[in-house]
Amino acid sequence: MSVTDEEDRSAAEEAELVAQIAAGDVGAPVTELYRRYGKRLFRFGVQMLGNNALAEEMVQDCFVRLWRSAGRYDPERANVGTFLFVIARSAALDLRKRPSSRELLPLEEVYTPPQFDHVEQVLDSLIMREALDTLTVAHRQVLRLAYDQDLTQSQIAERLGLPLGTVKTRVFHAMRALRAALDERGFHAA
Amino acid sequence: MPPDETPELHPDAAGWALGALDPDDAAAFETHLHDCAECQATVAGFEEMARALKSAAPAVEPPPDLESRTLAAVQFAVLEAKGETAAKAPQPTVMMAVPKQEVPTVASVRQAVTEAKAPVGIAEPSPPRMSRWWHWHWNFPVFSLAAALGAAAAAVVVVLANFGQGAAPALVSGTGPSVTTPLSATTAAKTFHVGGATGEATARQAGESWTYVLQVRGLRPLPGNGFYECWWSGPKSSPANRMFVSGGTFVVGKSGSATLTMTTGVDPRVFRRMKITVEQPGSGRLLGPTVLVGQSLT
Repeated sequence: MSVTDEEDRSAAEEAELVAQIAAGDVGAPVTELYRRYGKRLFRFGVQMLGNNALAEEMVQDCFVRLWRSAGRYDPERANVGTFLFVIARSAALDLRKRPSSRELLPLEEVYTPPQFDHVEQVLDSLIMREALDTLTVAHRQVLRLAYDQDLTQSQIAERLGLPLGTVKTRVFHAMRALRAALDERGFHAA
Repeated sequence: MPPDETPELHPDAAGWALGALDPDDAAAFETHLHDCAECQATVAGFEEMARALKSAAPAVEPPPDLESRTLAAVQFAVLEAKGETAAKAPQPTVMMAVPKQEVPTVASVRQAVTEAKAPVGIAEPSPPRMSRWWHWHWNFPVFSLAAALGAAAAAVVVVLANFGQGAAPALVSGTGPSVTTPLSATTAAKTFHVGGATGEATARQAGESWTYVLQVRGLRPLPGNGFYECWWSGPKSSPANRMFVSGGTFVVGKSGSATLTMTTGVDPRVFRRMKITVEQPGSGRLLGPTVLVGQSLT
């Protein structure tokens, strides 16, 4: 089965799950969609809201809204993932506007809801995280030390107790693996 | 040419794009880059990726119980939409049972569900509608717990206490020092529209047992047959080794408040963590979502 066939099958399955929810089944179909999208939605919430507790609330609200709008879902217009993230974005924006969220939100962002391109950036950042998660621990480790802690390769070598040549090779292969993982997800950095 | 098809590329290309080369290596690579078209193309791709890498979402994981809370939130919304409220549904006001062979200490739990106006000890009883139902949730060896706790065995016998109309009020008794457990709302409480709920449990030793007075405020009637349940968790309770003991179930009226009096063998100095969960009969979950939680002040 090709990647496209697999994607089509998965999309059809998810559309069927939404149809089941629309028909009143809020057990297994909701659970299955949570298992497919819950983590991504949670991370989306953390990115959008900057707060884990609000992100949890957003995920729950997102699935409640999914149930409410499941009858209006049209698989010809968007896949379920897109549908869910549109809902999630709306839920996140509502949470940001809610007065009681203010104590949990970063002060400087309370009155400035993210613009559409910001949401797109959040989605890109989620894809990047998922791609990173597919790498080996060793590959993730050298990349994290380089991009997150701004260490040079010789500093990374010292930190990990590895020869400099090994670190260079590892960084190179890590970047190649990351590129492959991003390509698989149709991600092309702007 | 895509970087994954060019293994012969310069080994510093990726490090340069990441800005991770040491100064000498960076200078040397830049000299090479100036004349190498392949490396220029590769580095361009790597640079874009490196920029995106810096904005990768944090590797945060949702809490394990978010799935069950999310499912409960949807089911709650469905019930609410159907207009099924606790007022219309049978209420598990009192309960009984517990397997006798597993209970080393016999204590009693008297439970009076009441509106908040009634002061402790003069609880106005709920309607005498009864259901035989019990929880006994722990997935660890009973005997190891018994050994750990000795005489203060963590067991609760929930005995049917029928406070019919006009029944005698539950008396708060006990002679030892009191232990207080303040309760505050969890994140999940917002799901059930009880984000402002609070509570407090005061325990006092009475012989071998403890008498608890639990007061909750800011809750609301649950749809369907939903009800609240009081739990204590053991000192070494963890997701892999749950040590929960149920204290009883209750519902609240429109005031959202209730006062319960319970007598149990659970020592608040050992089972310090207390929680109030939202339960639906037949949900199949070990515990429902927690809406109030607290730790005893010892």
